[in-house]
Amino acid sequence: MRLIAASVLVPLLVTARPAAAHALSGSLPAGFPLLLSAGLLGAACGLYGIGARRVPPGRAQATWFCAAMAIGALAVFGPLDRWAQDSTAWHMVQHILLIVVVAPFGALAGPLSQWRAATGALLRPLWATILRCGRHPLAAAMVHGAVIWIWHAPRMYRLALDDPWWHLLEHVLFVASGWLFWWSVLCGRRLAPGLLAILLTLIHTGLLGALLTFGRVSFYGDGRALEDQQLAGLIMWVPGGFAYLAAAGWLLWRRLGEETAPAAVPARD
Amino acid sequence: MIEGRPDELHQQFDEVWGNPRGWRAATIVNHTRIGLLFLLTGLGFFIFGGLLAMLIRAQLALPDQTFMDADTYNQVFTMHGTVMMFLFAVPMMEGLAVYLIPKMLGARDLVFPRLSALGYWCYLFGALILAASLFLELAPDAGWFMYTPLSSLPYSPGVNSDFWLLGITFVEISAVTAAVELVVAILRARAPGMTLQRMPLYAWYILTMAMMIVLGFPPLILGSILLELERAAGMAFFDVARGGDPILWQHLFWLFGHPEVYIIFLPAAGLVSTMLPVFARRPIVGYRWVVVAVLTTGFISFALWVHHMFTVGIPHLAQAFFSAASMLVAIPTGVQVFSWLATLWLGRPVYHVPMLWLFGFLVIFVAGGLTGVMLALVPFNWQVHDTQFVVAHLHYVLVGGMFFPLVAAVYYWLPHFSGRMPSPRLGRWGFWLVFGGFNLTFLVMHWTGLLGMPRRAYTYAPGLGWDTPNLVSSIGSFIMAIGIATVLVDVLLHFRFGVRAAPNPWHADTLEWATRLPPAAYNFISLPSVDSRYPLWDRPDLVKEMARGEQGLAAIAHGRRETWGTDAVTGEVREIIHLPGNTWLPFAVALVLSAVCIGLLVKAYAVASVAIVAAAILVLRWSWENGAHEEGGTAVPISAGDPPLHWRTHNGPGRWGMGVTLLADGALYAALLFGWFYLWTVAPQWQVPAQSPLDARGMLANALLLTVATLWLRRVLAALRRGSDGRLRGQLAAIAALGLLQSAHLLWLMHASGLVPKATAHDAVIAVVLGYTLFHCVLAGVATGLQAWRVHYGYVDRAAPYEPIVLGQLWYYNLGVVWSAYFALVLFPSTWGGG
Amino acid sequence: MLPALAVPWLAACEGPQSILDPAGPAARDVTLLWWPMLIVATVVLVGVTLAWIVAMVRRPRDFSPEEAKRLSRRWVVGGGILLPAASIVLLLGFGVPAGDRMLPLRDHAPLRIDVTARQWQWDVTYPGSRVVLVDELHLPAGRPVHIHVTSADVIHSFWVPRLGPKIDAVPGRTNVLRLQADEAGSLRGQCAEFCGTGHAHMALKVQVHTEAGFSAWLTERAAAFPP
Repeated sequence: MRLIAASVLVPLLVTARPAAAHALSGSLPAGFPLLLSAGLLGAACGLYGIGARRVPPGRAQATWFCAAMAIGALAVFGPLDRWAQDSTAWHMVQHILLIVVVAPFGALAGPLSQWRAATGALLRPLWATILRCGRHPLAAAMVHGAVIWIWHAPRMYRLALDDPWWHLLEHVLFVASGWLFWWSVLCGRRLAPGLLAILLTLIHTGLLGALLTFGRVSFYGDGRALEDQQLAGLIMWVPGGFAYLAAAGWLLWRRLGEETAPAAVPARD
Repeated sequence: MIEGRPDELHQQFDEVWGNPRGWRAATIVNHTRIGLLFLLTGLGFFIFGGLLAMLIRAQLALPDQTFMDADTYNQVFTMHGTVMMFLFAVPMMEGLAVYLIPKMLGARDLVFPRLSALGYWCYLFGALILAASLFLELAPDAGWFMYTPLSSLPYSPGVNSDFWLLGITFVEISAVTAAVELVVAILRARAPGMTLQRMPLYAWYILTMAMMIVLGFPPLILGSILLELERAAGMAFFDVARGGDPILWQHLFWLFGHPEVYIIFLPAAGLVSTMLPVFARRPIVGYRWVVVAVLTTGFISFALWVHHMFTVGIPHLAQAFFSAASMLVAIPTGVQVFSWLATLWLGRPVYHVPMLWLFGFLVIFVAGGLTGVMLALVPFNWQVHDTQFVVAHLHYVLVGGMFFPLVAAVYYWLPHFSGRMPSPRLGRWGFWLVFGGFNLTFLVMHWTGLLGMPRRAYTYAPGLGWDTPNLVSSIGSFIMAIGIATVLVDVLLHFRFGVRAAPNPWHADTLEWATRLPPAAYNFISLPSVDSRYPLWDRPDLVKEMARGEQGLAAIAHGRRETWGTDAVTGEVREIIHLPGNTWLPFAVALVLSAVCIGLLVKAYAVASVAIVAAAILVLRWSWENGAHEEGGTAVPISAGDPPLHWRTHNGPGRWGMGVTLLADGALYAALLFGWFYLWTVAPQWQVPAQSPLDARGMLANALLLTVATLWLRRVLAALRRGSDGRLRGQLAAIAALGLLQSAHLLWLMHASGLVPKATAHDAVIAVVLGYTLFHCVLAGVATGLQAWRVHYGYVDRAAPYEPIVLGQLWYYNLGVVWSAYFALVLFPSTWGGG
Repeated sequence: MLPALAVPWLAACEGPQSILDPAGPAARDVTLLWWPMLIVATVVLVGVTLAWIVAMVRRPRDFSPEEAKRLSRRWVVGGGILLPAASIVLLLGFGVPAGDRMLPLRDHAPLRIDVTARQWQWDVTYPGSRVVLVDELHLPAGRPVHIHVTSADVIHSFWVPRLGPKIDAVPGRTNVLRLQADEAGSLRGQCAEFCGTGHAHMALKVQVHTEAGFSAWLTERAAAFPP
């Protein structure tokens, strides 16, 4: 019970102070998207907490959820966001955190049960749709991939940089599509589509990282350093790729361990 | 279950499965024969490549030799590398897999026998075309990597490079088809009860290798197509002045080239993982570790290609990252090596000739792996890249990692191929000669590289310190050649003088030893159910039960070739796969494709066009001879309680085969889109026209048209799945017509656009993307039309819904292609700049 | 005793184009990486080989399932994961900074020499001077030089092993290589990327002068070229 309360309060606290500081530092309308982000995060936590009273989550799941919310809050409201304004590499770190840390952690937390319990019959169609989509890792991978590539097109990227509403949309899409992808892959029942979805995501994010690394000009405006962009590409390619590798290895390990290995030793001869 | 005397049963099975003799042997599709053909042909090309190596070593034995001039030497070393990599290493490993996998999985054949036959004939004909080039003194001479601009038309004006581009692409058809076969066979045609966890380790290795071929070969196929288009049609991809970039070739080549080396090593490691436990007389240590290590190696290998390009001038940051990533692959390799050592340590090893070769493998491969880690360190790489040090490294990992396990495997499975045991004495001589000769040749070569001798130089000046090491290497190579000859003689002699082998002579655990020795075409009279990872160790009576027809699928009176179709993960039976019998089609298609290849080579485009049409007709005929057509009717007798025949299901092997093939196709398309974005952002003199030549609205309309057709097809398929086939023929025909209309519209768009592929790389890439899209849309339309026709004949209906469901995947794929092309070619350029 | 053994060994490393006979700081850094790598690699190879031989030769014994599990985990995790991981960390720890130290300098602009590779010769020019050389490179000793390398036709690779790393000459691009020679003398370079029939003969004569000698040479040579 205490753990559940902590899992709700900690992210809220972490979120509240920096968000308030950001929102109040500028004029209020400009701060709306940020407040909205904080609101979304708070709603996620709050609903989780309410639902946890009816459907208590396991200890591991609560931990994953708390970690996902905390890291998400730090990524979006912490100093990282400020650095990401000017540096493509830090911006990449922020996005990578959202896509390969927050999203999979969230998926492992499996908060759908808690959210469903909290909202009752109201949002049942929504949860049912999500459940149905979660059965198709390859489709989820393709949606996630499309989201990633679209937001790296120069005009879209700069749009998000300049306009906080688009930026909020970008983050929401990253996390939502990522969450769905990771959930379908890590918690799905079928091994082959899951592994294939991870492999395809590894390859296309690697190719996108390669393009960022080898580009001769800055894609996102003259104010941003080329070397910074190269570093961003490498971060997406190598450490980002590593996350997919680890996931694939873990999936396979878990699946193979499910059956007791028969230890047959041939007859002595 | 049928009980009968094994001889009677053998007679009956042989009638259905038997291989014809004489010239009719070209119709054989059985995997045992095809596998053996791959092995024999691979051996022939190994000898050919080896002779070329002897020429190289003879030339380099002394400084300033002119026994071969520069031009001849360039052809010889290019062919040596090309032959060894494409005509020996990959076909040999695939051939062994084609032979072994169905047997190890307790099946009667691979799932698409005609496809494997096609693969073999394409390999043979393509290889002969390539080999012929050397005798015509027109062999490729730009190195086996064929770097542009050296291999581009201005610097390689002759037809030499075209031999490589066309011949190798032809041979690669065989690699990809065999890979598709193996993936689907391993996933869907195992013995009942053989869950993934109970699969032999070799099957995991081959599954990984095959998936790597599926995803790794297409970038090279694309690169070859682009380079050939540049050479023959003047289009611009790698030419700086017209907006191309020669480094794009390197990216495409190494996207293939790095996975390629693991494609060669992993199956050999799989052989080691199969033989070692048998000789250690205990199961392998760490089965789960090894499986995860193998798959991880496969995944990682796609991300590391840049480490072949450290000196090209890539960003410095990239070098540090890739240094680290490349070294990481040592970890899964290390897991395998130490698993083997632990298995030996915990087991009770016995000594036989294959163990000697496995020992050689360990020493040489580990040495090669260690120099590989050294090479991954960037500053060291900057010095030894393109020197004899790299030549030494690659031979250590390839010869050690592939050739030694191969010879061990040959000795191990010789009793299986021929029914006779190999002799230990000559085998021992052969080993020591090869081992000693190899190390003498290539150990010294590391030194030669460190003394500064570059690679691919036809001669060298005296007094640079390279004279003695080269002479030593050349002497070593002759010793090695004698050793290899000894091994060959040994193998040949054993066919005549070898002692008859007892069943399962090595006391192995895997199912291939449950066949007769040598095996009959049908492998097993009855197919086993398994409940452990080591079927022959856990149930020694299984072999007899299978031979007596007491296990599954022992009926043959219906005259059909059958094997089980099982679930990918649980190994439960899903369907009975009805396999095709002997047919001329694969041979004929391969022959016609050779005509296409030769026609393009000599620029006889009329001949090539006619041949392409002929090939298309043959392939469509091939697709016609499927499913219900084979039965001559829709009512087919199967025993009560048996699972359905595969063409009556919704999810048979064909669907998987289509899926895996589309993965390969997708890899090619992804490489093409990568090329587009790459040139856009990296090409030094990229030229974008002020006005895009493409009609944006027209492209959008085209994509929407295809979307409508595809969604309609989706509804038809959903109805079929529910068991409803109302107006099926009419709907399929209409969808086909719609698809062909969309294709015609696309063709018109291409024609009406102002594209000038010869002038700029921008236009050239767009032209290729659109051409690719067009080809696929036409294919889908025609195939759907054919489906409508088959409905008319009654081969497709709600009781046989299989084929349209398989075809549906192609439509979805095309939809993805068209929309992503729209995004990449129309929308993306508009997001560039501004803001 | 040891120096006596070392002398023939070091002599064997010598050569006009030998990587192991450094004449500059970059090449020296590489040899300092090479020898320890060789030693560690040899130890690992010998260890693995011995493990195999001992396992084959020794008298086999029975292991209980728990013993087997423990031993196998030790082998697989210790040998297969920890050993490579530790080696990798060590290698990168020394190698990455070494590589960084060889990169072209950013802050100040050292002497710049332009090299254009073509089939099958090296065209060397000195910006700011009228000197044009073919297959010859002259450098001052003791200070870094930036070589700007490009190609007029196919891909070549510029390489002077005794001084340092190679860099590819790619058409459409200019790659920068930093070289530094310790002292005056003659060195040899060679094209290191296959570039056609003349590839084997595409050598480069490198002459390193003292600082004073280099200025003198440059002035004298420039006089031979008309303005």
